[in-house]
Amino acid sequence: MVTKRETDLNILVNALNHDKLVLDETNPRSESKPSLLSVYADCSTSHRVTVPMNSTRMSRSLLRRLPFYGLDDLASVLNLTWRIQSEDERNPRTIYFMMLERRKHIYRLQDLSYLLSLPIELFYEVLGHLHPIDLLNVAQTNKRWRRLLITCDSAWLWDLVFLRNPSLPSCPLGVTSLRWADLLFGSFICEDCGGDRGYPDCGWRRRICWMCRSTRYSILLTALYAKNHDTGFLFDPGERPRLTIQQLANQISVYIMLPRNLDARNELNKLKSDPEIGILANSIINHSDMCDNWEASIDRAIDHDRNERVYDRVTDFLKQRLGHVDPYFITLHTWQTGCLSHMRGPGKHSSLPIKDIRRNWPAIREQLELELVECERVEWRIPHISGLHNDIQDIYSDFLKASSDETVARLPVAPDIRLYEPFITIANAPGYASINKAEVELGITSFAEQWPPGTIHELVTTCPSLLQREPGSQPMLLPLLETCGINSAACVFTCVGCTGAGLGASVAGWCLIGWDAATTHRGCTRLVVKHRTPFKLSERGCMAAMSLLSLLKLDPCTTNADHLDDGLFFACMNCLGTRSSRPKTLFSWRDCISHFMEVQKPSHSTPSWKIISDEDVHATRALDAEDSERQAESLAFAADLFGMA
Amino acid sequence: MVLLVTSDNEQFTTEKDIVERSVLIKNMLEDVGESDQPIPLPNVSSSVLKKVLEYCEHHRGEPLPTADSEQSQDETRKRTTDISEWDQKFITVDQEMLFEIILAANYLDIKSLLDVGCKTVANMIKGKTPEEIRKLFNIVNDFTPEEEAQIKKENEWAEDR
Repeated sequence: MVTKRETDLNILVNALNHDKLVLDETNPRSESKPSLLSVYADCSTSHRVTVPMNSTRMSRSLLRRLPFYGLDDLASVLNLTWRIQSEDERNPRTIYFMMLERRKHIYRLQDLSYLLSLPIELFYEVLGHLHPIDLLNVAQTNKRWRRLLITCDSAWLWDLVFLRNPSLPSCPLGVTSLRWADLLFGSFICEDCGGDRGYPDCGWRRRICWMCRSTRYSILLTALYAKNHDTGFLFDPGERPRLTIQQLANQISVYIMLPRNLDARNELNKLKSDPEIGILANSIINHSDMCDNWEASIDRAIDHDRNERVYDRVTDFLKQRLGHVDPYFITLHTWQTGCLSHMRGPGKHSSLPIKDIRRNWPAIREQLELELVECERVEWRIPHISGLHNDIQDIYSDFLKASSDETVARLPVAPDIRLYEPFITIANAPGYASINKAEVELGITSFAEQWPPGTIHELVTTCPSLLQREPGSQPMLLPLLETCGINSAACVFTCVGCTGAGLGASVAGWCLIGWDAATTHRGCTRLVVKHRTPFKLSERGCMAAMSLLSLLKLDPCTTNADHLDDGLFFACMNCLGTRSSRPKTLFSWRDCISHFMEVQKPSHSTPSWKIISDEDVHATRALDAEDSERQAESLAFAADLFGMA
Repeated sequence: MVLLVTSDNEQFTTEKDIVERSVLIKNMLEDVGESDQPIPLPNVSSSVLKKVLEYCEHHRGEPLPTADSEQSQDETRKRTTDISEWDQKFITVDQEMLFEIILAANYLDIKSLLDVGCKTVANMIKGKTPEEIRKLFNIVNDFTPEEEAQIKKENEWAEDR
């Protein structure tokens, strides 16, 4: 039979992907307080939620207290952010010390059973090198070791471990080292009320929680400072019976607690200068100071360590998702958004209510990540790349200064160098490494050698699009172009920046014929950094050019663009068809190539041209002129009608 | 030169200033005086003595603990919990050898080596929970659940006595 409790637990366990939860019903506290059930979420990272068992809406309240319940990335967030209570009944300081030791000592040897047969004096010798915490832990392993350690006979051992750990506060007067070790590092339970968070109190020599401490203090305060009409004190200090060390320590604790109270200060000074107990009082006061300092330093270290660890986890989590992100922005934005302000639970520092944050977590996280990426881009990435561009430019300028005039004349100017490979790749490399001068110099040398490229092979290296199109096989046009000079009219390039915009800025049409045209076009403002190769060899353009050259019976190897600009006009046979012999539009040879590259219909699968005779050219131009006149007349008439003349 | 004979009848010839790091052998040599007689070490096997001599050779020349410096040595031992790099490498052995080295260091009265052995074992225990210590030593938890729960929260056992 499945009980209500089991159902609730099942809901919880399923919600948290099983392996993230351990249900601990053997919690020692559950005996004394059966109304509490402790659920340990991911024990390794000390998440725990305690909820009242008698709640009728237990599962809901339980789940509501878990961070980001029901969201997709629950597991990862749970791993990251939430810390409700410490993992067990140990004092957090003890856990911290144990963790420090764990980090320090990593040994492969995982079996020491052989050492159990050591003579007892040698075993003691080993134990003498432990920390008091470890000695307490050893005493909890089995009955034999407990009998060995928790006894007056082993007091010397406890004294020794405190001597060998001088950073710990020494054992105060009137307390054994054994008791002192338990007080500092034993359980986390208040010795008065049995509740959580019992911290050692040097004055009371007890582990008590804040509530019990304040109650005790208030009782003693009442006793000490309830004003008597005659003496000012309920108990006249002069007439008090002889104090025990414990009573003296208690009194001193109270006096120290009231630094601004004149009476308390006077009392403390009296105790200090008392001929009988002055030395003892001073020793108690000094010890109390020492303990306070120690506790404060440990608590600071614990806080710092916890912050560091959680911060590291958050950073790793975000880095995993976003790649490189400046830690400063992570700190800033997680703090501002509040959704990962892990120390006190999500949303503590946010302007949004925590409920909204949990409900809208995916959207908030997305927003956070977008902000981080944008910050990174604007604040660091763009300036970084600009810096690298400047560095590259400087190195290139030095190179130009050292080069001959002829070389300088044929190379791009320094500000343009960032537009070419391999400098685009170098500047856009991931991360924030500074420029590698040797790499840039090598790049410049090879760049200068191949600019302009002398052979088709170098062209293909420069324009990898051809090779990429048919990986592993010879590009279709390559054999055809192999015999061509690179500056031939048969080599048609397109500008990556201009393609698609229908504009070939600096040359007629939007094709760049021959490498000269491409180099003339290199100042194209549309070129952006992300375009890794500024110019591509156009297969379709080359096909059109080759067909024109073959129609004109010109050698594709030697004919360059200048040879073709001699007033010839062509018509596209694919458009003209067989119906009309006279074209409506006159194409120059550049127009032909542009036209063929632009019209990618099945009818234009292969280029086909016709040279237009002079007679037809005149006739077409006359028709064009007539059309223009007619159009002008129509426009004038329309303008007259609407009073726009 | 000093001749040492191990429990498995193997003989080791070594220099006096090396072997004198052992207080036991040092006292023996002082008592017996110059002699060619081998010193029997019935509690130390050859493999262990080899390791011990390696340690003594590396630390030869370092000041020996004397009665006068006992106090300061104690102070040093109180403070230093770390093991030097060489010693750490030296003591990286299997548990049986570690056990034998500790026994031999105790028998031969080589305080520094005993310290290294004991600190190594102690470092293996440090930072571990009771359950992990049980696993380490392969011992059984013979507390009843009630006793264990009591141990976790009790405090009277540690009261002043």
